[in-house]
Amino acid sequence: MISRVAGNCFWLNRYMERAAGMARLLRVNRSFIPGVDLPDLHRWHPLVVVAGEEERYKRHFGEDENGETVQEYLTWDRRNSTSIVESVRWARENTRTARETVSSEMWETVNSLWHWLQSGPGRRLYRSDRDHFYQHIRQMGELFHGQADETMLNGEPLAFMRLGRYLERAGQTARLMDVHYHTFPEEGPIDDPIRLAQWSALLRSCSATEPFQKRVFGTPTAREVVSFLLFEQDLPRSVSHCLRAARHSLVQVRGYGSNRIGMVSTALLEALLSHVALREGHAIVGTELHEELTYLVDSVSDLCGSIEQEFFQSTELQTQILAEESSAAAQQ
Amino acid sequence: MLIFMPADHELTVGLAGESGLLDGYAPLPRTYDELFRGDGTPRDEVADLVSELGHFGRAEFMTRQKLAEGALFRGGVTFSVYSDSRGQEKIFPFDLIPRVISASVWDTIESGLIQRVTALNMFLSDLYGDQRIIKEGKIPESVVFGTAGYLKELHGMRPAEGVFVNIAGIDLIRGSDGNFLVLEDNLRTPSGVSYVLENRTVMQRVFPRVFRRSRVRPVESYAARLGDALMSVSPREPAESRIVVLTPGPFNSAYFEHSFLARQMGCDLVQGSDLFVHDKRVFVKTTSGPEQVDVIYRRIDDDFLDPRVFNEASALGVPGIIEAYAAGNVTLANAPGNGVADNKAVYPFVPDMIRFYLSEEPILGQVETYICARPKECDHVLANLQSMVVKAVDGSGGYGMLFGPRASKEEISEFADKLRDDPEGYIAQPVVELSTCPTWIDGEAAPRRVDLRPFVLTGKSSWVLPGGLTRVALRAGSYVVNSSQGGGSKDTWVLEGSSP
Repeated sequence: MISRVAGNCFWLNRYMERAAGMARLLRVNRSFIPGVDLPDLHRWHPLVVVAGEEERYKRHFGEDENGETVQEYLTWDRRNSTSIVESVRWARENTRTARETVSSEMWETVNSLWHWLQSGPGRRLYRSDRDHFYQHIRQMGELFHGQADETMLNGEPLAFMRLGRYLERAGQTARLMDVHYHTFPEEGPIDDPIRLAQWSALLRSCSATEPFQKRVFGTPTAREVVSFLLFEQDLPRSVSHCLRAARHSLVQVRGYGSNRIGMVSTALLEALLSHVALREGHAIVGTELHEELTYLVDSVSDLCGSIEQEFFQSTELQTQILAEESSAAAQQ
Repeated sequence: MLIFMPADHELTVGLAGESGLLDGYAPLPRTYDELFRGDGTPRDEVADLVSELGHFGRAEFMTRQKLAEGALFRGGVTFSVYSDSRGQEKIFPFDLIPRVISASVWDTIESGLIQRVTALNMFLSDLYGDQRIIKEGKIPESVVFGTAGYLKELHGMRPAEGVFVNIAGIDLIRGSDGNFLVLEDNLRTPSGVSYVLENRTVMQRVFPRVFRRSRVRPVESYAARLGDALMSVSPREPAESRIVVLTPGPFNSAYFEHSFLARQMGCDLVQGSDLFVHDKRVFVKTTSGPEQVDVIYRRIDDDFLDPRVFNEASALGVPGIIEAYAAGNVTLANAPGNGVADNKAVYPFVPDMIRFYLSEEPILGQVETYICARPKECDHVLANLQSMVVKAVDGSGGYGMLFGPRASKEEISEFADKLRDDPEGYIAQPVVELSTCPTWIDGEAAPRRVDLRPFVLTGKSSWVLPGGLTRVALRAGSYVVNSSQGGGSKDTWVLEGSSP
């Protein structure tokens, strides 16, 4: 498929995943830490960190970590490239650009979400029932990904969509954990109520509460939570699951074409997968966990950069391939 | 496209006491109305339709109009994107009352269009070749070479199968006597066909019964026909040929259409940066490496096509593409250089072209035109400006023109100065009372002026899409149908012949 359009497919899913992830995170943070008297700073600051927006936020709002300001910034602010409204805008832009490739069902979903956010109803719901507002966005995200699987041909465009979706998700889970890592006690069960609330919020942010309860009984330990979110094969948002799903898509993508394109990306992903495999069963906490998560976040980001270079921005490589083909033809 | 569709039995008849949709419709005096005679009775060929539509109460009709607009909006059938930073989009206003053309009238239009496009194509072939028509004095050299449309770089190049005009949009109007006249030829990148197809889809869903009973000729085959026409001019065998649609990009106001056509034809939509030229061949960058491209349905203007030959600053085009075209390795549709045949200075000579190349009389008339470059005609125009439409030969979209009857004294005298300064730059036409069609305005049907853009596809032979884009001037009394200036569109129904 056209390189640029493959990029659109990859990115439209990343943006939608990002918007839905941010909505999930904001909803959890608002609603699922009840009865816990946490100062706004500790409650809302981590979200700005997860979004990677610490610096810009500080520039605009200084030390103001008021919950309303943070929510407004992460939801509506056009200056924040990771705000929900910006993510949806770019998801829609990428979909619109690739409309001949994306199914009409997906287009209608992202288009109506965008118009909903742009016009009265979205804003009104934000003011009157914010839980419901965030839930709606999350559900539209789920609908969108479901529609991708249900209405697209099982071909290359869908493979790029999934690749984008899972790599974005892997990075998200790692970043979420990284924000919480310092609250994880190194040993023993988590029994402090504030810690427990934070942990349960972390699980919920990864849609992992119910799955976790099905696998782990009694009061959880930090290692169990970490291990579950990093390595649980069956959890759709665990880092390990996302990377394996990404590998599946990358293999599928490369099956369509020349060996030359995707070599570097495949090598990077394989290296990352073996790195993760080596650590399975050795759940880590504390600074070691922070280092591990930083490594994961950086590696996923490098991998995305390499995919960008090899598949989407490939002018040099393409000319090179042609030149090699013609010189090979000349030798025969 | 998702849309609520009422089952047939739910079709409501107007509430008791509520008047029918078209009751009391009064056509304008001295103006041809597409559906009604001057005395307010429906024309024979549309009598059934008028009575069907008449069954709808106004409230019901309004509901359906809203359904249609909602469907177009949700589907993103929009234009005029990015008029502001919030990315506001509008739908091209769509009016649910169709414009109807009888089978016999259409037959004449169809053969007239094919005749005209054939002659224009021969004209282009001649101009970029022997220039016989100039040598034999049928058209002045100054008219041809004095305009921006002629690309001397392309002299001697012959496109595949000799077809310059693969896709034509010929604008027609209907005068007060009911005869169709050609107003303008569009031989470069005519747009609007996606609205024809989307409007039809919406009409079929909103008025399923009316539609079924009216025996309307289908338009759905357009994309397949376009694909066939493009494939037939590929330099390579169809089985190994790759067709792409080339767009300036998502910020272009017609991007929806470019994407629509690519989707309907099942081919790739590309931007200039997706293509590159290697060894005089055009390739598209794909995820599995470079793939050769054979036919490019390009929706980029000539000037931006190749920065090496034309506008150096163009970032939309593909460096080297003209060289590949000249080598016969790729087909560009439409061919570059067509602007010389569809500009307003050449328009007055088209009937002579038809006689010269085909030895036939033109089937379709066209609007009487004064060439201001000729002193006598210019004097006549200057003396009668208040009853003339004066157009800049290089203007389009209704811009750069004077509409005499609506202009103030100051505007007329200002325009007269411009005309005296640069007579070669203008042509003038008497005002034609464009025909009207009932149009839903503020809760009732009112007469509004319309034009028609049929589309003609040419590969090894020519084919005309039944109907075309009817544009309607939504403002009362307005003659300007352009979407950029308050125009809307209607579905155009060409009826099947009277035999069952």
